[in-house]
Amino acid sequence: MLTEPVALMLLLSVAGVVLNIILYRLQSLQMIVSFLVFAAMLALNLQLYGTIGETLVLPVVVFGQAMSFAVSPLAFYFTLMITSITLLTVIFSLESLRGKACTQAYYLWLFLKTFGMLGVVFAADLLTFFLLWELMTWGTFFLMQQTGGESFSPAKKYVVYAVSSSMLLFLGIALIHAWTGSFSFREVAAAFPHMPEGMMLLVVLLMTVGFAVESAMFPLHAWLPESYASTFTSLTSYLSGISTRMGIYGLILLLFGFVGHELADRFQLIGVINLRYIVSIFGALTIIIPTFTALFQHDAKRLVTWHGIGQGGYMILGIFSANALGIAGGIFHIFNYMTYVTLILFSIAAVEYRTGTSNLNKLGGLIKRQPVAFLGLLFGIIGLAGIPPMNGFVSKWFIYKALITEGYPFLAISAIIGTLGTILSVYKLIHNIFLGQLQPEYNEIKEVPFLMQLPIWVLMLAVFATGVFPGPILSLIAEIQSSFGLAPVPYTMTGVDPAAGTLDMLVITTVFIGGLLLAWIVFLLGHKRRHVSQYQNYAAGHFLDESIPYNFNYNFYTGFEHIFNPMKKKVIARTEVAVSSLVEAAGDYLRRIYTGNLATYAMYIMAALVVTSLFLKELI
Amino acid sequence: MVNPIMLILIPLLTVFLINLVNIKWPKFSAGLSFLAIALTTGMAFTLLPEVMQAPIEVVIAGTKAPIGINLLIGPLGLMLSLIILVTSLLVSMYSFSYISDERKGMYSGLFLLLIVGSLGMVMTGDIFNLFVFFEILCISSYILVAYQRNEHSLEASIKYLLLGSIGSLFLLISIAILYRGLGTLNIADIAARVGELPPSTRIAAAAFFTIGIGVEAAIFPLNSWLPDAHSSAPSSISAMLSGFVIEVALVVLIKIVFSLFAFAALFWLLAVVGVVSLLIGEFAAYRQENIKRMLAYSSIGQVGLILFALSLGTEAATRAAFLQIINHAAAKSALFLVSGYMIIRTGSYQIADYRGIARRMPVSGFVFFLAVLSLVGVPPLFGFFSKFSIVMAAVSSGSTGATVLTGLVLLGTVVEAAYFIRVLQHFYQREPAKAVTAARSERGAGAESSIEAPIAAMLPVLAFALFLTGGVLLLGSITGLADAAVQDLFARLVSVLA
Amino acid sequence: MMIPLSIHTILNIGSFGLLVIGLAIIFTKRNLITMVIGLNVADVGANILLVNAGFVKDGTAPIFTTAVGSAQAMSDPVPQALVLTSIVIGFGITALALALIVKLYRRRTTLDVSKIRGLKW
Repeated sequence: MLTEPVALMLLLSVAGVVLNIILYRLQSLQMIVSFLVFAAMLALNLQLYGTIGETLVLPVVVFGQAMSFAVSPLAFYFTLMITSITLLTVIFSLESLRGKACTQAYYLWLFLKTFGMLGVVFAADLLTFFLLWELMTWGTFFLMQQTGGESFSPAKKYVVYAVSSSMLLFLGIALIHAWTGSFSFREVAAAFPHMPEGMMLLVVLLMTVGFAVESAMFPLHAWLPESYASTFTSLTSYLSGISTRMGIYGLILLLFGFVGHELADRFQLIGVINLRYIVSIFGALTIIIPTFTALFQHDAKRLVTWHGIGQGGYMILGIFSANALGIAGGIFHIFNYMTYVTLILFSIAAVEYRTGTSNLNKLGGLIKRQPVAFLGLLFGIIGLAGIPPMNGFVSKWFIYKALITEGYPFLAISAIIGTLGTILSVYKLIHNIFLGQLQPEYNEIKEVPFLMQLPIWVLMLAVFATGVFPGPILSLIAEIQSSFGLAPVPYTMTGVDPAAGTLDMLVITTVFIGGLLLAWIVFLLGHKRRHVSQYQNYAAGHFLDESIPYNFNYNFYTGFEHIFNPMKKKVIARTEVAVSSLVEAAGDYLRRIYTGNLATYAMYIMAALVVTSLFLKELI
Repeated sequence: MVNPIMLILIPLLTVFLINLVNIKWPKFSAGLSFLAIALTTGMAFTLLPEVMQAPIEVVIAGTKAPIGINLLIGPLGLMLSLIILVTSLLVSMYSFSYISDERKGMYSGLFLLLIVGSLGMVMTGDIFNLFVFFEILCISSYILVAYQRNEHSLEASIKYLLLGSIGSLFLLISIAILYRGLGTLNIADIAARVGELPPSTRIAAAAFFTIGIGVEAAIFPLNSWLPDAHSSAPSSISAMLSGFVIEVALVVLIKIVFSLFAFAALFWLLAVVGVVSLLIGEFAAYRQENIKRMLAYSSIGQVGLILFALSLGTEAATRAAFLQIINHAAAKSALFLVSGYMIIRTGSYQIADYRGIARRMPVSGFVFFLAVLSLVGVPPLFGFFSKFSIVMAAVSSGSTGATVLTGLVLLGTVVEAAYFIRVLQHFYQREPAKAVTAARSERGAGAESSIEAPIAAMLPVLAFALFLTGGVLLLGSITGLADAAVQDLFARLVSVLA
Repeated sequence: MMIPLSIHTILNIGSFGLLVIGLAIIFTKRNLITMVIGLNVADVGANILLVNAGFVKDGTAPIFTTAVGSAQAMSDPVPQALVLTSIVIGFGITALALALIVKLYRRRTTLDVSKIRGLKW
């Protein structure tokens, strides 16, 4: 029983928590132990492939309900992402966080959080799911405030959002249990269609909103940018790479596991507008608004975290598209997003590690100082922008294709507009960090140590390889689709079957590389070239040389900002302020009940007596 | 076999003994009271297997009920007695170092009387005895609230006393009404014949009883004394008052409502009032700057939650309420005890003055952290399971009203999480407040050294924390006891009157 | 028309009257000592209500003697015992209240409850 890989993985993550408590003050031991444990977890996870479909019932009984875990294809897909990205994060942190005073509890919370995520994904009943979901969100909370002071306030904001979302889920789960009499996924799924319509709608709404908060869907995304950006950069990548996607996992589970597509379409409002379509509209808004907000960020981390929100919108559009290709695209995008966003953030972390800042107004020209980080960022942003041959292109192509064939032109257009915004802002990212003039104070900077380069290389390979050969991942996704009774995506090793729409990444990559080669040849054949230093530049009709330091990077998109400024209404920020002052005002008014005056208190007692008597007299 | 009456007699006789000992050797009073409580606790545990078989009835002075006075100890009574005794045992251990002035003897005696009153209330089978024990409980807590003899504690004590006396008066009126109508004081006997009363008399008795005990049970709007009293009492007493005194009053109220006044309308009224208490408590706590006042308002909220669960009137909800009582007893006691030494060390009640205190009081900070999470209901702590079962039970009771109320309960949880997290973050800030930097322990030393509470005070606090974390492993047996208590309670419920 | 008033009814009315007067004092007066007196008045009302519950018209003391054969003709002894207890408790509370008021008065020099609001909200 306990030798099952699932049980072992869960046990190992608990062991990780315990070991980190024991080794609380011994940082180097903490690092080594954590690395070894996470490596073992990844190894175990790979073994799980053979056991897909099996269920494990732990001898832990909570309220007469044994905790049960199952290795579904979806669970395998998610845990593989979780364990691999955690291992990479740990490898990266080994060097990047070494010697930082405030990291004593870092690995501890990382293990707790990982335990929560693995448990949520493996869970085969709602009780286990909710228990570990709570654990996971609190783990996130503790993890994101590791840097101390400045991260406390955004973390508190997160906890308010997260607890609210947990409570919505809680109510939804309680209602499901009250109606179906069971927690088990299988029984709930079987009984779900027999629920009364109104109750079903209520449950679906509660849980959709609950998961939407965790996946930072517009307009419930406001907790994310600050809280992710104010923590360690290696954590930012972990959090935005996988943590936010647990909400998407919940949505997939709800939509395909419980409700089912046919049922989801039953909630018709007017004409074609059904619940699924409404969620998709929010998905589209999630793409556009945060992506264009990202454009005006002056901090690299914050810029990327805003994209993290935006990319979630693509996943939602795909998953809710009711099309084999679209669903596959949505699920595939989770993996792709994880790889390239982690790559981008690791590269930014590498820069930050040397320069001490991620402020886009202060960096520039680092291309020759940190070539590995540059290459990592380049690969990452190509993926993020959805340009071939990186993997982001494949999943986005699936989603566009599905939206067009299913007849949602507006959603498709909004996805494309989002991509436009992405390209603009990632250009800002790479330009402001690596291109242009080098700031004089960074003259002596070197590339980061090998342990920090390693994850960057691995991820570069992943982003490229799964872009050219998406087949292996798509085969997993096809399994997920069949496990939910959906039509599997007709994949091939390098794309999709010509019957479903022609996509052969090998051809595209060959053309792409061929084009690059052609350009290279033209370049070689052209006129003789002159090498100029980074300081010799040309701007607005003026030559700029070393004597005229000119910072291009400062306020990069001022023009755009000018155009978009009138549109920034800050509705969400204002709503947040309004809600928090409402709670404060409510507290202030309610506590005025306790006037401090004994005579008033005595009157309360008398009034209570009268009211109780009258109430009882009336009703009996 | 232990006679259950010993549970009351031992502490009561020790009170007299302490008063004698106190004349010559005041030092020993605290140890004596600790020993008495430890002995009583041990006895209560030995009663456990027997009571689970069948309730024990103790006949006093050779006359059987309904004429004589009797004690009736079922699983419900024993469960509450255990909560009372274990909490007070740990708190009395904490008091060794916490209460260091020359009035130790008085403190120990009153402390024991408080326990006697609580134990008597949960064990008695006689409604007038209930009144007497209730008064013992009230009077000893009035004095203990005023123990520090400063302006605030005197003010709080007087308010508590006058409001509590109005409550006692109502309780007495209710007893008079019942006796006039039925000529008996035995609760079981009244329950059997309560139908003979004319409805208006029954309603009057129900209303006076509910309001009378409701003052002590801190039901809104009768709880106006609570924030003052719980925040002005010595922290050890706050722990007792919040930890079990209100809950005992609440369970006794529900027990009597179950056996004598099982009106469906009254259950609904109490459920709604419970949720209102919860929301008012949590929202008011959100705006508190004084740590003990915040904890006191949080108690109002928690008691509202317990009342809500108890008055749903289903077995699952009642069991959940019992779990929540246990969780609250451990968590809130731990919070008050921890804050007690924070107040001593920094000399301040203001949360703002505790910035960064967890770095100088690491154990206290950690226990506070655990207790807070357990109150909010974070797995795998005990509080998660109690809150989870309350919500499940409330929603599965099937009525729309209960579901709406549950939604409000969950809203209260969000507010609760928000204000508790604010305090926690304050504790773990990097730059300490002036009061924290200036704080010194009795061992002296500099600004960087630990100002942790002495070990005798930390042990009970750690025991509470250990229960909150490890209590989950005992969940099976605790649920077993709670189940028996639920059966005990529901055996009294003949039928609910619509 | 004369309504025949039994002693029982008079006592009942009297006890309710005392209760109402006592509570009215508590709810309308602001002086702490007056409030305590009100509490005492109400307490007396409740005690009379209680002792009246065991009242038997023309009853004798509840002692079995040759003169009185049946228990029906005796006053109920239980309420009398209860009232004794209740009076003692009331006495204790009053004493405690007055002691606390004295202590508070030394610090605050006021007895007006609307001014003793150091603890609120």
